Amino acid sequence: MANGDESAMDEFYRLYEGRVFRFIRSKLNDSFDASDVLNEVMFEVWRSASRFEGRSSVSTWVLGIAHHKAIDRIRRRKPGESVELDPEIAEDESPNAAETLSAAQDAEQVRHCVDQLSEAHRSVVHLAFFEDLPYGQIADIVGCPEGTVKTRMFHAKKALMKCLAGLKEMGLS
Amino acid sequence: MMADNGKRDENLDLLLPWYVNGTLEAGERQAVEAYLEESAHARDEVELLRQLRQQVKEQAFENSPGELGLQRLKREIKQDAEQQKGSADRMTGKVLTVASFWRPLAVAACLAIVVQAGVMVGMNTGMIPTGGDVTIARKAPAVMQVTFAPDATEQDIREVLQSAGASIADGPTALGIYNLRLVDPNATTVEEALAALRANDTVVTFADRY
Repeated sequence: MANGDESAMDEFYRLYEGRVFRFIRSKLNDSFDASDVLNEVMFEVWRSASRFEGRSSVSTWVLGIAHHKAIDRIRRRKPGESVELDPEIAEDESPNAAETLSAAQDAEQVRHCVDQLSEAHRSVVHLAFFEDLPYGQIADIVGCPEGTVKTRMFHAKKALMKCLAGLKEMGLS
Repeated sequence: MMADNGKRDENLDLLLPWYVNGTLEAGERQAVEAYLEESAHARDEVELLRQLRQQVKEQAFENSPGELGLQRLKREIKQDAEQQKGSADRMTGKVLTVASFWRPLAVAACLAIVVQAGVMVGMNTGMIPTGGDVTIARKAPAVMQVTFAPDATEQDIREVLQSAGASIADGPTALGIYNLRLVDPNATTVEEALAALRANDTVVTFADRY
């Protein structure tokens, strides 16, 4: 691909398109925007393939490009607004894990609560639980320290528990 | 207030999601396993995280673009290559020289066709075609080339074309270029139409003689 071989691009696209689309879709919550950004990512891959030095895995590299392109798209959607990179979560009384376990068994409720998370939290949840990536690789993709990835995941989990407990209280699960 | 369900270790709590997805290194995994043996809180957390992971994995997203997306990408790669080649040619003056040479000839040829068409129609009907003769106007050749902004709507394009007294003869080409003809060559000149097109630069990104 670095030498302009289009058949290599075809192979690369077919191999990574699904993963990259799902990651972007999880960040943008919009499949049309996600399709556009996927195209931008693959075009960037084509243009910059010769500069890929192999310091990270290919999937880390392409998901990192996808992360930045998706953030650009969010900024264009809301000009003037900053992208929430590490939102603070109110440290109030959170429900415990055992209390929210039954709600977590309902796929619809979990999806609803994941959709309520900030973009930064959704990304980490997706990369940790859908992609099953180690925290070090997630840090490389989203461009932040490993400790930040861990705390984002911690806050995401608390927000999910709170959301699920709220649905349970309303009798929706 | 913490529930009284065993020992808590904040640092190890942070590792639990990666214990669940199986990506911890050996030392960290052993530390978490020891923590799980003595903490009911940690065991509850792991159970919840496993459930959440399973639900996230089973989430159904809309289908990805698939082969249609690949075709779109390949079109854009091809366009980019052509644009880069065009830029390189312009840098060397190759296209400029050829265009400078052919453009007046092309315009003259177009005008000759327009005049000849008008004369022939007049001969056949015994009348000089007027602006109201839509059939004749539609047969006029393309005399301009334009490209539109990617975000221009059909309504934007329609309004710009109407204001310029032009209509689409054919296109788009692979580079997104449309060829335009004058709706009524007797009422509007090419220069007037081009001026109107260029005045709408949020919709028309390029306009020139054919």
